[in-house]
Amino acid sequence: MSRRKPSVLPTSPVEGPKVWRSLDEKRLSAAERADEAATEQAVLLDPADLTKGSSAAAATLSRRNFLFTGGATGAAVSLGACIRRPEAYFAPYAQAPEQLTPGTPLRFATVLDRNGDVFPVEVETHGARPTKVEGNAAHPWSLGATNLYAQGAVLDLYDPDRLQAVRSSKGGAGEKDAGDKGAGAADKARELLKTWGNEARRTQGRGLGIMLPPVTSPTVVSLIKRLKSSLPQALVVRFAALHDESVLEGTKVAFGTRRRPVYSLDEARVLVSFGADLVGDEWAGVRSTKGIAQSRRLGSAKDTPPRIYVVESDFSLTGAYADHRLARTDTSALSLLLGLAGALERHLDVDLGLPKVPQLPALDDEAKAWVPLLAEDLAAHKGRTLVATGRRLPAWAHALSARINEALGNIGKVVSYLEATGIEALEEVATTATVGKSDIEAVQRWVFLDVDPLASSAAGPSLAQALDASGVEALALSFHVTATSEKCDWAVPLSHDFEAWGDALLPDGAYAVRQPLIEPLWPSLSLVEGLAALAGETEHPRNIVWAETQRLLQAPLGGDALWKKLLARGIVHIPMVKPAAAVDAAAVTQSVAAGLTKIAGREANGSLDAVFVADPRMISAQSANNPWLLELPHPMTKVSWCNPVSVGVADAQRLGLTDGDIVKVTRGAVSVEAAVAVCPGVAAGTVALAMGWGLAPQGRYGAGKGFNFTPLRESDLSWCARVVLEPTGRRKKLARTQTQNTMEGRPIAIDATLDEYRKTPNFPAWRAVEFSTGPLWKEIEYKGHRWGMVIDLNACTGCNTCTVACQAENNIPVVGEKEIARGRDMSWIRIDRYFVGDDENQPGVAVQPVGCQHCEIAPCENVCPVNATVHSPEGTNDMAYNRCIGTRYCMNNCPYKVRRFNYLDWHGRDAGNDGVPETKKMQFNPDVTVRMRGVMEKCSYCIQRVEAGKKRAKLDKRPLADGDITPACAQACPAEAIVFGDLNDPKSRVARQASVDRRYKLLAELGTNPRTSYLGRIRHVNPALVKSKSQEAAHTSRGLITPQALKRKQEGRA
Amino acid sequence: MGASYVNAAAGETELLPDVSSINQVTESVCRVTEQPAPKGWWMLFIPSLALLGLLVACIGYLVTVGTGTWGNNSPVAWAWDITNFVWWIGIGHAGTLISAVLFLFRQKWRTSINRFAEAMTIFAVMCAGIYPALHTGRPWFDYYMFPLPNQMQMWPNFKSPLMWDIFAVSTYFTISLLFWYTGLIPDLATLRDRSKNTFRRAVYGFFALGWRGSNRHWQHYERAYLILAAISTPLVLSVHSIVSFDFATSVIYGWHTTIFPPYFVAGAVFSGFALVMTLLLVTRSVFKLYDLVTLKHLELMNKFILGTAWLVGYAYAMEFFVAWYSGNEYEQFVFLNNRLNPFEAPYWWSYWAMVICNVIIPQVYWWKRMRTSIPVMFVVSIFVNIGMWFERFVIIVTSLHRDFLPSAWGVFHPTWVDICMYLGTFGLFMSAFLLFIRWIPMIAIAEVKMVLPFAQPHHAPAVALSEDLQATPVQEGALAAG
Repeated sequence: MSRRKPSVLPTSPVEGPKVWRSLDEKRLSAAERADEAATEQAVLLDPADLTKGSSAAAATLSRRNFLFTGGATGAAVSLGACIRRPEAYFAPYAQAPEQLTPGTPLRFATVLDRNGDVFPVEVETHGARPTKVEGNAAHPWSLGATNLYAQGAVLDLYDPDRLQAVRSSKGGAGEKDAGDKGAGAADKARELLKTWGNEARRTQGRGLGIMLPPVTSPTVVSLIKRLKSSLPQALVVRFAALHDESVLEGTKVAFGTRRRPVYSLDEARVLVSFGADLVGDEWAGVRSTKGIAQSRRLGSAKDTPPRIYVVESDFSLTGAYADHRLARTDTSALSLLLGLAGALERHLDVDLGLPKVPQLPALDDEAKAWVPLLAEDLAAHKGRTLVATGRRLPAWAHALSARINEALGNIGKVVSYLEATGIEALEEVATTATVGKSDIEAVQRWVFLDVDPLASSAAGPSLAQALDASGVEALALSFHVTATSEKCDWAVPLSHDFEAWGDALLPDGAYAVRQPLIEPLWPSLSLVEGLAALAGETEHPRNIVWAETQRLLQAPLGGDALWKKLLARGIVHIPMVKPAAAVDAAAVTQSVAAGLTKIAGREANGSLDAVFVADPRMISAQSANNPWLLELPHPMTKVSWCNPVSVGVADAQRLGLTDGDIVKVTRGAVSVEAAVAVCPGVAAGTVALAMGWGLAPQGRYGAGKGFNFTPLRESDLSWCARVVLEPTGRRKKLARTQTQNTMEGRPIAIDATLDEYRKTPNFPAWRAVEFSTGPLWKEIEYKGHRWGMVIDLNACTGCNTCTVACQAENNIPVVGEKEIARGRDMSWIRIDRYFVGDDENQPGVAVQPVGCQHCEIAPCENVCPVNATVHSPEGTNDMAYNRCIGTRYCMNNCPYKVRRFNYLDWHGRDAGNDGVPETKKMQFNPDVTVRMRGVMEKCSYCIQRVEAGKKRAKLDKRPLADGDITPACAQACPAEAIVFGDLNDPKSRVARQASVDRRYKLLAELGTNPRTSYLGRIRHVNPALVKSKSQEAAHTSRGLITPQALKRKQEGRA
Repeated sequence: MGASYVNAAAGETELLPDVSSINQVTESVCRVTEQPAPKGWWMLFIPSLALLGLLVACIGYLVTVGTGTWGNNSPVAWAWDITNFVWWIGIGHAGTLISAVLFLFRQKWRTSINRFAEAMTIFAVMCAGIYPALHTGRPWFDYYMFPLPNQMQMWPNFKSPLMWDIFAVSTYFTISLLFWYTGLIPDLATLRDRSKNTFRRAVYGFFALGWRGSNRHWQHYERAYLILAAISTPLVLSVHSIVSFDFATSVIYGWHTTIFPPYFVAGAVFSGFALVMTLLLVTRSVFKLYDLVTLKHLELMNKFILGTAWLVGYAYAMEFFVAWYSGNEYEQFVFLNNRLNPFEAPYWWSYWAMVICNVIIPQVYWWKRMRTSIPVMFVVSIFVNIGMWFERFVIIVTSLHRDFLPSAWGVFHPTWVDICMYLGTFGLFMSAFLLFIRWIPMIAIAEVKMVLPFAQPHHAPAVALSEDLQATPVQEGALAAG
């Protein structure tokens, strides 16, 4: 409603101007007139009287009053009907802050850390509001790229359903109070923690339990150490549902200390992964992706990409990226690893110390065939190979892979085993799996710092029981209202990383400092503040971190200047002690033997292996209510808003399951009901359960979405459970963004084997033949810039980061599960995923990012009746939102179907909920229009960035240089698969990429002449594994197009 | 023999054998507007009005909440909205065809049904117009499509077939309305002259534009009518050709085909005749107009339906031929998979419904017994209307839902708003139509009289006409007064 009110009510009849309608009235005394006016007002102001039709009102409702009321109502209704925006005022700065130029964004370096997976970022802020996350280009673990959770972090910050008040249930009644939102609430919580710390110090910490995630922050580590020294009896537990304990334990066997394998994959020639999702959600995925992708971005047919073999049970991004993938259970993967080790012993003539009689299940013929070939390939590229083992495999497998890598001479070249940093390196910190029941019961006061063990730990039930015991108090520092925070006596809001001080240290010595970018939106404490309060430290968290930095740098390096420099850059390298690299072969042998006996004892009783896998969208628990990530389709199943049980085709047929069936997954006495998604390529005998969902019970977006599979986990260390699937007969409609899985033999995501590529370097051009009937209109000459984009399908992993980056940059709305199911997704750039090959149980995968192709002869432009989509002088296909009336003709006529229509007021309903929360509005990029309903939208090549880049160059009085402008997708891409630039500049990266031989234009035969082009994918297959034609077909996407048809096309072209 | 107007040698028979006098024509047509409405009329009118209310409610909901209240989605951006638009526009075609083309070809049997069909055209185009106007995301900005000089530096894109549509449909509507109204003038004058109260006389008199039936009036009238018929005739071809350009000029296979203009026109005539038939059969029995709309009329229309059924059938076959002949995989996929294949395509049933309704069922008209059976022709006309709706649905939805990139494929499901709005347009159509037959002479009185035997100069026994009148070919004017 408008704030403007018709000023029709008489203000003060007594003092008002003397107005009279008749001589009689004029004669009336002022008091009488006041009475009359008061009656009038009463009639006007008390609508109840009017509606009730009370006699008093009826009696006084004269003709004049009627007209008066009617007029006022009419005016009010008509004013209200005009949808006026509420008035708001800009408040100019009385004192302009330093650095800030209104309208110009600032960037700050900071760092994210999710359970030890560190991500250094640079955050764009507009008027002190963080709006967009980019990777920190100065940091070697990002080099400017990002991953999904980093992109989503900015929306986590503005999550309207964050825990916003210090709540306690101490007021009696058992229920939590609404809580204290006031300015001093955080201080009160700090005081409470301080009191707890002080009281615990009296008993040396006995009865105090602290649980925290395995972050890498040296400050946190120091605080824990200080706490431990003053509270030696306190129980400190680390917890993360997705952890790398097996990796760390395995490396401990091999090297004597807990270590992290850090990969440098730029030069690797052969990669063999046993369930390790190197380019996906494995630790430091971006770094690994950067490395592999670099050698996959082939400049010409002379270059050789690495060859990637993957053996895995679920379908990971690395599996999709691989040249050969074998879908087998994790146990078979172990057999294969042992077999490979045995074969390598012969090839390399070394003793890997294998137990003589492998007791693992025998391999089938296909898998057996792999063993000698892998060994041969690895041995042929000694020193430039990698054998990687995933976090699901037991510690002995990691120890063995370290031993194999040593034997292959890879250590120090492709992989370095570096000392783990942070909490996970601390021996004195227990894990939820190792901590005993009596230890838990001994705790009288629990402090849960940024963990939700009740919902996501296998130890949850016993912990809940312990919390129920009388006299046990608990406090949770929590980002959301979680199962744990609900159970605790106090729930204290946790600061977001963008509101807090902190730091992170990676094993190679890359040290990053976290700085707050915005005042906490609600009273909250950070992890550092919480621990400091417990330790009784009253310093400002900034000073605590700074002191730690100085300690790490081993010298008080002259005050503020360095500190500021460090904050500006976000990273400094700290010299680390280089650990000895030799593997303790005897320990490995012993561990392998011990491990094998354990496995052999396991029974298989016709049930399925349920493997617990990370969901790339829900790596961070803080994203549990993040609609961008909730709506993001899973890279393989393409299901959004849900984490269904992934079942392979063979198992689904055997169990009679179809997509969307709700099944009861039972392990022993525990069962979870969840929907099923049939995913070709999940190993027979395995179902994949994605973790991290269903953890925001009160989030308006996340509540009720997805399934929490934690109860099926035996312990937090177990990655596999034997389960039985029973259909319940009920169904759930899965919201898929892509329902067709195959390319129908069309030349879309074009690929070839390396041999074919060498024979015909321009192979995609033979399939996507460019036909031209000549232009219908005079062709435009682009004298200035001519923007273009090239996407290298050989580099793209299909990780979806570009989609979220684009969403964050371009204010793209989320539509909600129902609307996705209706087919109304809004993503400007989507990742198309096709299964290729004939074998449904072991398909290959082709991924292809598709955004607006910016056609030279754009079918959308001709058909728009109102010229709302037009060609720019720089060749892009632009949308004029104001002009668009929404006929949707352009959307129909777009062969790539990349145009997105605001069918409803998406922002108004915000993923099915009412309206955009005020906090989420703070995330909007002010450089991009927020589109209303009824308007078409699509990728603009980030036109706002193009213009900003041009402006910057102009202000700097220099010509625009290549790389000045990077669209959000290209910037976020960890594989650098997307290259954008000026095609008119022959030296630009994009122009060079556009002249690469394997370049093609999507649907070239239509003659749309797109600006975006693709580089065909090369599958570096091992010829020994591809003997028959049908096997070859399984590795490339060819299908319906017959050789004859191809020949016809070629002749037609000649 | 006397110069009978029936050419017996050419096998013609008298059109209206049961009409024994000129007055009988006037009486039977005018009494519909003068007597209280029969029960049947009310029984149709009240539900029609209710449906019209539903339409208004749906439109209100659609405009307030958004296009998303329909089921349209990402690959299928046009669905029932444009299907219904094309269907209603097609319905309208019979009116123009019957009144203009058959007029120019001197098909005298048209006189009993032309008024009816023209009215249907106008109401159908009104129903059709709702969809393009409201299918836009922001209908309040529809005026951006008109070439209005403005301060916003905007000008419509004349390359867009939607622009052509606007001109084609609005021209069509205007001309049809004028043509219909011009034809009405002598009949309105008849009603005026028969009026028993002042109000009636005033209203009919106003619209009769002072018609007195003079020689000069007739001369001008006939000339105007002929000119409008000549203008309307190309419109029969142009409107639906241009509507078909919405599809034919696009890149989507299943749309992108040169056969569309004639195919659409044939289909339009086909569906238009079918709906005229449906409505005519009902009206004829409600108002007992058996003398004026004879079985012969109906049989002739059924022949038309059979003929146009073959035309659309040919077009369907031709599409397959071209898909095969072009060697284009995408086009072949659209026809062989999206439309034909019951195992692959989610909409295969709509294609088969279309073929059965439009091509197979009308084949019963090869038998005269079927052509002249009222129940049969009623059922067939309904089937043809259903079939033609499916034709548009097939063209629009099955072509869109699976186009080039399989990743973008999707399926469309209508929502309740889709369904209610479609039903609502029937309410609008029927309400308007029922008001028309109630208040306006639904059969062209003057024109019917012209084809009666005793209107002919050489008609022997009925009236002894004077030598003068026989020599003057304008005696129709005298007849107009009844």
